[in-house]
Amino acid sequence: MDKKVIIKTSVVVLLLVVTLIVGIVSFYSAPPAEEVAVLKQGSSGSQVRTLQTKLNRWGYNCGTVDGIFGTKTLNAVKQFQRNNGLTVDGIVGAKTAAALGMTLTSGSSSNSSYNSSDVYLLAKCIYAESRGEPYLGQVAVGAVVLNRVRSSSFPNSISGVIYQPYAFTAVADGQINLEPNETAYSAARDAMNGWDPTNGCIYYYNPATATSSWIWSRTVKLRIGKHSFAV
Amino acid sequence: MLRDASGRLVMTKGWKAFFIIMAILMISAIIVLSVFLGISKSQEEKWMANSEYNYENAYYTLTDSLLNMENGLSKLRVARSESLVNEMLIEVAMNSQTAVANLTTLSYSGYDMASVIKYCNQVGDYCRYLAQKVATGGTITDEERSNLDGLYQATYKLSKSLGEVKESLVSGNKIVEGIGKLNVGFVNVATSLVDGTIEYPSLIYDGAFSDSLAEKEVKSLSGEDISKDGQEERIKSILSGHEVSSVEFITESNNGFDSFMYQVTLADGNIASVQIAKKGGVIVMWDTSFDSQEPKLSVEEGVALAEQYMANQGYSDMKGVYACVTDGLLYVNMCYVQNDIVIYPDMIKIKVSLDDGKIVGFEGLNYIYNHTDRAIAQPTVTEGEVRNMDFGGLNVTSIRLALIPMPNGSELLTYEVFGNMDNYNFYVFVDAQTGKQVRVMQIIDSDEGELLM
Repeated sequence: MDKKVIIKTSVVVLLLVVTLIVGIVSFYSAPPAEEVAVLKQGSSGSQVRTLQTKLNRWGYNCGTVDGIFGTKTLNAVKQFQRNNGLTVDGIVGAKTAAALGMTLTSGSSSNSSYNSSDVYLLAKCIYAESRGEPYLGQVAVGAVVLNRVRSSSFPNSISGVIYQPYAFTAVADGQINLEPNETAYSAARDAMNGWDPTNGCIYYYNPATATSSWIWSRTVKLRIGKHSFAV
Repeated sequence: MLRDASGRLVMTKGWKAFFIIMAILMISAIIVLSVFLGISKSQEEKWMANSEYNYENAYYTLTDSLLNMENGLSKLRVARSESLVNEMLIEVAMNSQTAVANLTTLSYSGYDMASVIKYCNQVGDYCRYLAQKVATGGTITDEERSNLDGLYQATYKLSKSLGEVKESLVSGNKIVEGIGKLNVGFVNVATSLVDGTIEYPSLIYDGAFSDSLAEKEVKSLSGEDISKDGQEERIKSILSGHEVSSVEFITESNNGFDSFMYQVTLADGNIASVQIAKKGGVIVMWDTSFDSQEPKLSVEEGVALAEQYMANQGYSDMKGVYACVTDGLLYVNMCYVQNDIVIYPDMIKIKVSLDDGKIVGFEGLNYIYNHTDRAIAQPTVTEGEVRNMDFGGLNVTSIRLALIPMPNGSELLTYEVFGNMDNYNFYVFVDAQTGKQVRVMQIIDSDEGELLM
């Protein structure tokens, strides 16, 4: 057995151990990655989707709305910046965002253009609980929250209803912290303005996944998408 | 590794060094791991402890507020002076709100505490109603006294049952380990009002949480029942201004009244949902998800389009009374106007895209429930008298007659006084028969909404 092999093996083991330690240390001590309030090539998520939707609608072709900032999106952004007298850098910062009528939110703060924190909270709840449902189903989820605020059997504020322990699974599992998309905002505003497809329901559940046997005892009034709405 | 003459393994120097390095690395890895596990464990314990303090704080605050409610209701059995009665009623109402907030924190499945929350909300609402009655010169009737006595008995039992939880906490149990599983105390509290262990009088009074409000009556639906099939033409006429590609029936709702819901695919790819009543095919609501665009139309133009749409759909005498713009979308509150009186209960909301002027949403539940022919008594107070009333620093810009909905479902003829102060817009409603102010409303986002005259 020669020294070289020993040294090589030692180095490999050493590297493994260091990686392990660094991994553990960073897992416990690093702050959660913050979403920077700038969209550029490589960015992804609901804000990019909003960006793409807007650009496509205004005639700047960025292909399929997939939420991924690729070359097509980059070119569209550059073209938009050229047409609007902005610095052509292909990066959507505050100025370009403003020209697009978008507000970029960073993960750490909620500086959204919707100054009412109630709309924001409701949109978060709708997005977390019912994204992927038909639009009316999303409005209905918002309406259920507001019906609970009005009901004597529930807390008397939007935040009280949403954060009531175990009332919404999306709050319990942390999905409530996802940044809502435009559709959720729009559904929240409709609900706040009085749209209520459920006509006063205060419960909803997904019959395919509901675990509480109690919920089955409620009277179902209608079904929209995957949700049954009940009183 | 080598073997010696007798066949035993002999460690060379190099291997020795290797094993020593390995051992040191392993040991240091274990030390680092345990340090971090220790840190995370102690952090977790800190969080658990903090959570537990929040829970216990909620529990003790709840206990206090229930006790205060009990004391107040008990004293009300002997107090007879108006000012004292008023003070105690308000104290009970305030404590009931504190109780509700803390019951919310202690909910363990989202539904369990509903009956207790309802109880506290009702007691508070009832006491506020009585306090207002006393403050405006009314007297508490024998029936109301007996109700208050019943509420005292129930609160006393509830408070006692909640006290049992304390014994469990004192013996070292933690709420954070599971409110429901912790002990029978909470479960007893949660179920006692449902299973009849604690009974309390049913409260029928002039307030938002009155027991009499359970069933609303539909006043405006008339006509023949329609079938859920073959409604394509009806839906196309409702969605006038949009090109309809296909209509699909999705569900039937029987909440309050029967209605059908359809999903409509529009030619531009958007989806609209339309709900029509089984009786007469009346529009209940419809909505589309609409992305914000740059507004090209003014609010006035948008309101005119909304009024035009209402007229085309066969609604007469509907007028825009309030409008607000968010993200290029105009929400218009339209009300039925009878003899120049704005009938607020008969409200329909219309969503207009200020980009292309299309109507993109309609909400008519209130109208369906409330619209009817009304005999409205002439006001005894004149507009001139209202104009001379004291509204503090309010700069009054307009006064008109308006019928407003009251919490108990009744309607009241008022003068709607609109004005501004410190950049905030206010509505003050003055009873048209007594001249008393009955409600003040403040518009919070004053830059977004405007009153339409």
